[in-house]
Amino acid sequence: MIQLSVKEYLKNKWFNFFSIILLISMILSSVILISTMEKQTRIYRMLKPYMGDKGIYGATVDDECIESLQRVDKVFAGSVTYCSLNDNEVAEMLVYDKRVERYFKPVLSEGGWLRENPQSEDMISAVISNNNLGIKTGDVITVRVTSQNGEEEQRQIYISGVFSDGQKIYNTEVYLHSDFKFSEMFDTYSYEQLDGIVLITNMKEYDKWKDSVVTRLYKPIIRFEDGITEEEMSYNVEVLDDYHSEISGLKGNIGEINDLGAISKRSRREMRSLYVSYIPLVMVAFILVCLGIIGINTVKTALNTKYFAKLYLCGMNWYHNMIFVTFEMIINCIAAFFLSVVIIYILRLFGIFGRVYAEIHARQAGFIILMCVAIIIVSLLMVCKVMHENSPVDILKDE
Amino acid sequence: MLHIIFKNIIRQLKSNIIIYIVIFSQVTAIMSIYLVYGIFSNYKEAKQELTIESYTISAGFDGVRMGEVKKCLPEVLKSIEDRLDYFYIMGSCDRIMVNIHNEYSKGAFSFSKTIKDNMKIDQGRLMSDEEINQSANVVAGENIGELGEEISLFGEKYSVIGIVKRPFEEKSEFLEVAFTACPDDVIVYTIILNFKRLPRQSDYLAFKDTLGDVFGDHVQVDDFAVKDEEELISLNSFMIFAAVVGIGIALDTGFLYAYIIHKRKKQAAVLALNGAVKRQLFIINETEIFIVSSFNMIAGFLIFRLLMENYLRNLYHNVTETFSMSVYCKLSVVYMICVMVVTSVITLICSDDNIIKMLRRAT
Repeated sequence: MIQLSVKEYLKNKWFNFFSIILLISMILSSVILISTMEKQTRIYRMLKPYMGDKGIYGATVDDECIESLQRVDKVFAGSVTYCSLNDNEVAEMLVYDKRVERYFKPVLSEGGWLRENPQSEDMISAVISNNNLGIKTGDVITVRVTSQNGEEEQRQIYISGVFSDGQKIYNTEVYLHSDFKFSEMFDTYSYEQLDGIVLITNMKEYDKWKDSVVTRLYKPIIRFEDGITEEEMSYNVEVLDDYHSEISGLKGNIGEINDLGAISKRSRREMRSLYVSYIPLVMVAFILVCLGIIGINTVKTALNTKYFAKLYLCGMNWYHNMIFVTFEMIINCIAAFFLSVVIIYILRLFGIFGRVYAEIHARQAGFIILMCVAIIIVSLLMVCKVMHENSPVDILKDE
Repeated sequence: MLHIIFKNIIRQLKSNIIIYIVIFSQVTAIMSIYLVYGIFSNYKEAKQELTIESYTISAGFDGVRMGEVKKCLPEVLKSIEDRLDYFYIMGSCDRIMVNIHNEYSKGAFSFSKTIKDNMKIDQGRLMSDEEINQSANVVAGENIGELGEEISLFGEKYSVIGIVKRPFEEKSEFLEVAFTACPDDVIVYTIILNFKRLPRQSDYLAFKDTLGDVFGDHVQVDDFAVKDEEELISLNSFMIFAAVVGIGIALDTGFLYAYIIHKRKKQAAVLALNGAVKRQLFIINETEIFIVSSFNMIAGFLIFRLLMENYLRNLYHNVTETFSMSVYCKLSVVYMICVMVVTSVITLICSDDNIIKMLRRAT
């Protein structure tokens, strides 16, 4: 049976060749579209659980202050530490937690993402921006940081890679204004244009220092539980105001611009308009997929029915014919998938047509599998329908 | 021959469901190609804008005269000259639009080479570096007078040394003058600094702080744009996506037509037995495809124009100029040529067999 299926597959080589090319264009367009959309919407996908109607954004806080608040549901905060590289140069070290790391892991121009350095348990691994100090992958740099007791201490950082300019990193200079949206929390960084050196590490690495080095929680999102009362809200605002006045000597820090509900509303509106701009793109991708499925299956059915009718008359039942169809389509789908992966790899390796977002993650893989399953099912259904509604003699007569 | 072609089309419409799938696919394909072109143009335009934005720093003015700008701008230019390509000042003198495209290096001004290379001079010439640095009262422009004529700008006499042709037909008066020779009373609207290398934040702050100190509320300096590599890759990805979809859709149409041609072998064999030569068989097939495709194209165009064009214009601001009749015609012609070429190749391959082979394969 398999031998016959292979023979049939080779017999229809031109049909299969064009099917594979059509499938490749369907897979490539879907992968590029999904990857680009993922990249452009990642900030909202990352912050979705923290966007709520009740809460505060951008207050000055520390862990203790947050613990004293009532009915806190979720907290999202970026952590920043300042490291003196020499007498004139201070680098910002951004500490990404698991969630930020998942969505905003920087693209590296050299090296790898936070490789462990076996030299010392005290040394943390980080990636660095382009810099004028000649720091590169594999270097171990000594920095001065402020310890919990207020004194300066020397620590070592292993540079596992250098991240490239022009990508979005956590913005430590967020300016809160009446039209603030969460998209402003991450900003484009370029050493060439902005000068300052930036280090990025993750929570797992930073835990080695956490208890001894001063870290700032930068403009956190504090989401309260939905059922929080007005009194509890007022209490929380007062706690945050008191903490701010203790730090800065200024009272009345929390205002309307800090209202999480209003910021979330504006951010959702921005996210919706972003999604609306994708409608034509999704539409054309959908059209291509539908036309592809219709085209391949129409031709497939029209080509095969007569031949299947002949095989039936020779003693082969419909079930075996369906195995031929399934075999052919599965081979085409697998071949198209592998060729698409090769094309994507070549595109990325040689930068043909410039850099393109084309990555195959769970979402893209799921969509490709769904598309392939749809093609196989539709082709089977079409063959079944023709076979069911017509006797082999009718089919041969029609031809 | 026409009789056979129309008979073929009618017979297909009466008995073959595939022709309806072809019609549906082709109409949808045409619409998608217009749509894909719109998407491609929109993102291409956005990419260009983004690239330009990354290399410029600009400021808008309200009620500011050139005399005041002349006092403070050289200081800014001096601090950024190693990265600067040229600066552009737009202002007005009565109803004449005044433009300055100058470079600055080591205390001396010159006409921007970038602009000079792209400017079309109809008659005469542009001002020389010597004239610029000696503040010679010379101008070049359009609709301001004849070559060699003297014109008056705020009471000062300027000689017209060149007639410039703008890329688009304009009746308004426009002139190019040197920064050093520009009358002090010219009202300034915009200053744009164009950099040859990515500007730094320090360049931006030098520009913003200097202008802010001198003009206060009368100046609005645009935000500093850091080159957004991620956005550029996104736009590039959307453009590649549009191209891949276009190719896929064209392939699909070719795929369906190829099947129809393939199924014609029996008819081709019969016609050949009756004396038809290859050329005639080719003409029959291709004319039929041309007629069906033309109707599909008109249907696709009408549906797109009536239902989708406005929606696309509202959604993508950059496509306003994209959908003109000439663009529709060009796209349609290109699409038709592609279909005809693909189907011709398939027809030629299919009709390459001899009659017996054709008959045998058809049965």
